Amino acid sequence: MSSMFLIALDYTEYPHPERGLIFVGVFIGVQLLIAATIAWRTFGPGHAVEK
Amino acid sequence: MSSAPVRAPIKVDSLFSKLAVHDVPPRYVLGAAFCGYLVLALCWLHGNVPAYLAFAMALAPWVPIIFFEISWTYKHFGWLAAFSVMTFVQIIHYTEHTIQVIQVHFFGMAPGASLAIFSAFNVEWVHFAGDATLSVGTLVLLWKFPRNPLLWIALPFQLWHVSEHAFLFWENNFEGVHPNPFNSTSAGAGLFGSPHGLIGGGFGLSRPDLHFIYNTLYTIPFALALIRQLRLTYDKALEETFPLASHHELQMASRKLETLRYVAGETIVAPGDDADRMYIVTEGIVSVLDRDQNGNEVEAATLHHGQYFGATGLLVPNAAHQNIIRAKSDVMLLEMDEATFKHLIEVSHQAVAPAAAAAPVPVPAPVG
Repeated sequence: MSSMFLIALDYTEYPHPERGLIFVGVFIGVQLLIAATIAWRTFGPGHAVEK
Repeated sequence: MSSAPVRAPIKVDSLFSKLAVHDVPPRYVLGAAFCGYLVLALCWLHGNVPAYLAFAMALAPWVPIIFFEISWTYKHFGWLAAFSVMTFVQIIHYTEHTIQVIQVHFFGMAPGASLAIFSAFNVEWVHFAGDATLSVGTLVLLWKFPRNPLLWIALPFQLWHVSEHAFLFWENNFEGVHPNPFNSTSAGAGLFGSPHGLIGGGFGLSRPDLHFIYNTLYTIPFALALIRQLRLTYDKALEETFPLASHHELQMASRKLETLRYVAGETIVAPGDDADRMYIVTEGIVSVLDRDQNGNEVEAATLHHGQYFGATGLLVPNAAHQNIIRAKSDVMLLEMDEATFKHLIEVSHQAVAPAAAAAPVPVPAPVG
């Protein structure tokens, strides 16, 4: 699956796109984790009612 | 049969008055605008000053004004100040993308050469820094206002946009795709830009068009989120005056208030004036004055942020003010009518009814 995805990448414009994608994954992943934490604290079990 | 003259109704503050310039005197704002235009004119006459440097210098006089205004907003409206910061950053960011689109479609410039104002300094650094600030800022806003649904709608579009810029930033700085971004006339297509976008060759849109769409999809819900938050935010002084009223009641009451300003030395109410309004001090110091046996004015009390006067008169039919209330410094007040005041008192009592015997009842002190 991952190799199929990598085949779709355009290596003519970007010689090493994997490393850029890893950076994007970490950068966005941290922010998604923070967003998920906020969502859990706000709407998760025991927090659903506005104080 | 004659009737007493009816006092003009309160002119309720507009929704956007919370974003107005409050703390910095208008002459400084005009001065900053004049200096900004003067800098731009001089740079234009000089002819060799890069646009990003000219605009950076033109914006510099606004920095202290923005700092003081954000400090003032935080003091009165709490984390609404973060919305102000984000609005400022997003205005610059969206302007940059809009100029790029205009350069492409109205001036016929190549997409890679359409670098607007600040992008010309370093296209990938400027956009990555701007977008990263907006992403982190949106998360901060969500942390403080997690029940604002429009912020949750805006977030995915911002994350998508910043993922493009994170990739472009990496490739540009660490993979040598465009080893000389300074004064570069070319920029990468990124993940979904065309031609040569990394994923499947792109969506068929050039980078300026694609990023303008990303930015628009973020800006619309962000602007609506700001309007929603303006409706839900009220001055902290109101909460200090009615500490037992619920947030919902304070939000509703805040939409019926008028902000009044007085300069130092100005009389706010005089003996005999109709006591049909309550006033909450939000900024400055107010003197409550009485007269001694010789008729000289004597300061009986001073009122500060969160304190109030005029409430006692609202509890007595056809009452008039007994004291002189005068601004000791430049003062900002919230004016509240009788119906709103009595409603807040009533709901506050209801809120503390089970423990009324032990809890303090928030009936304002008899001043004025």
